[in-house]
Amino acid sequence: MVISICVGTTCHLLGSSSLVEAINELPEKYLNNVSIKYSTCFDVCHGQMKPPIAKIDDKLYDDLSPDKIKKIIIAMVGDN
Amino acid sequence: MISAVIYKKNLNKFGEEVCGDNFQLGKTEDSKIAVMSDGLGSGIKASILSILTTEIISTMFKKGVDVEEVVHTIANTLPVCKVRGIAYSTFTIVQIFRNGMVKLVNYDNPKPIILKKGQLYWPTYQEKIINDKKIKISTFTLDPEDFIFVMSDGVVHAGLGNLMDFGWGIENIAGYLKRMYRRTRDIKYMVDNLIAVTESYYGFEAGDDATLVGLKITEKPRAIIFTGPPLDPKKDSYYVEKFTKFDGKKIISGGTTSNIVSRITGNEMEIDLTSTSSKELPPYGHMENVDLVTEGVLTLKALNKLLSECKNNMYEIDFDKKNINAADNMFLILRDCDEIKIMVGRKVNAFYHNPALPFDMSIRSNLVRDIVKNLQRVGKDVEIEYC
Repeated sequence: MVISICVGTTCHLLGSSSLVEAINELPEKYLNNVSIKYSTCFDVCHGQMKPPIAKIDDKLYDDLSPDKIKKIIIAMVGDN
Repeated sequence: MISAVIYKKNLNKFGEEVCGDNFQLGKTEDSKIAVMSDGLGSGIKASILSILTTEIISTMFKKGVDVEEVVHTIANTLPVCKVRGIAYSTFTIVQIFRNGMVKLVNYDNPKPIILKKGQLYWPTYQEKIINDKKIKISTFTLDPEDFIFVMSDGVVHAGLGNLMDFGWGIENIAGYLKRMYRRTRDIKYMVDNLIAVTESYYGFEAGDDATLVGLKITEKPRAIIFTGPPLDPKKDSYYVEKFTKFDGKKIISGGTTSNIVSRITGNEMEIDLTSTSSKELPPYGHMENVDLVTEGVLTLKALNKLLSECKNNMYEIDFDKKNINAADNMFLILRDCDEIKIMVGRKVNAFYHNPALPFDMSIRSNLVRDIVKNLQRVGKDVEIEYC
């Protein structure tokens, strides 16, 4: 699973740096399945989506919080 | 194109409020000129004498007068002390031309130390007697990563009668610098280190004003910053081409801007996961043919804060090299450049007007205007292009 976290201005201001920390707090069995990348602006935040935004395997997720992204990862890895 | 990075540090004679040595930087169309002068004695009298000398020399250069003519004027006007029979002030001029030619003029200061490809290089000097004053002139060429160190006799005499009979002397200083070259090529580190040793040889009570000016010959003294998407998207490729063809260091500041460059050049951008990111600043990255890619407004804001902390030059701030963020990185690249071009896109990011943001995002062009002002204050030539 590839997670690209946006580090553009608005995503950063609305807390994208805490997302990486949150992911790194996950137990190893989840972390082993995840590779984290930083990304520049996805250019979607002036439309319907609200920062911070991350792309997980080609799907964009918005309005993320540390808890929210942890839950998404746990749910996705759990399914596999 | 050849230029030089110049850094100076001095010690005041113990107990003196001002330094009797003075240093000035000048520019002509095709060269950079550093003038260092040592006024006779110490304190305010010496300071005025040396300021007078450097001021006359650099003003004449600015007016386009040739080195020989400048020396002639100075040699003819400098008074000689009646009691001691020596000139009221001594001077050294280093003129570095864009083609790598260096002209060195020395009047009664210690011999400048030159490191050419890591080896000591002592050029032959032509002696000219102008108004009973023996002026030494030499012309030679240097390459990037070569160094010139100009110093006042206060450095050479350190330790005199204290730790050593005759002070640590020019040969020992030269040897010390040569050994230091193997460890670092950082001009600030080299000059700071040598002055620290000088001070310790004086037992932390300098017996004379001591000044060391380090000049590091560099290539590519220009940088360009591309920030913000162009107003008209149809012109994106025009500006990207202009940016990539620029001869010098290249910096992109802005997420959307880097996406545009990446789309048009086909080079993917890599953000370094290990690069220092903090709550204040997002991480930075690289792209092929681009030296630095950062986020936009926040990083520029931090850069402007750093620049406004510098009074006269960009060496006033120290960095912990292991722990530098995007703005520090940009600052360090700009520090080595003489000419900086900024390409500012005028397209407004709609999201910046969102009330959800924690503070007011000042408009990019205002920020850039402040940065330009600050860069000019610390001696950079700045050109700005709105696109």
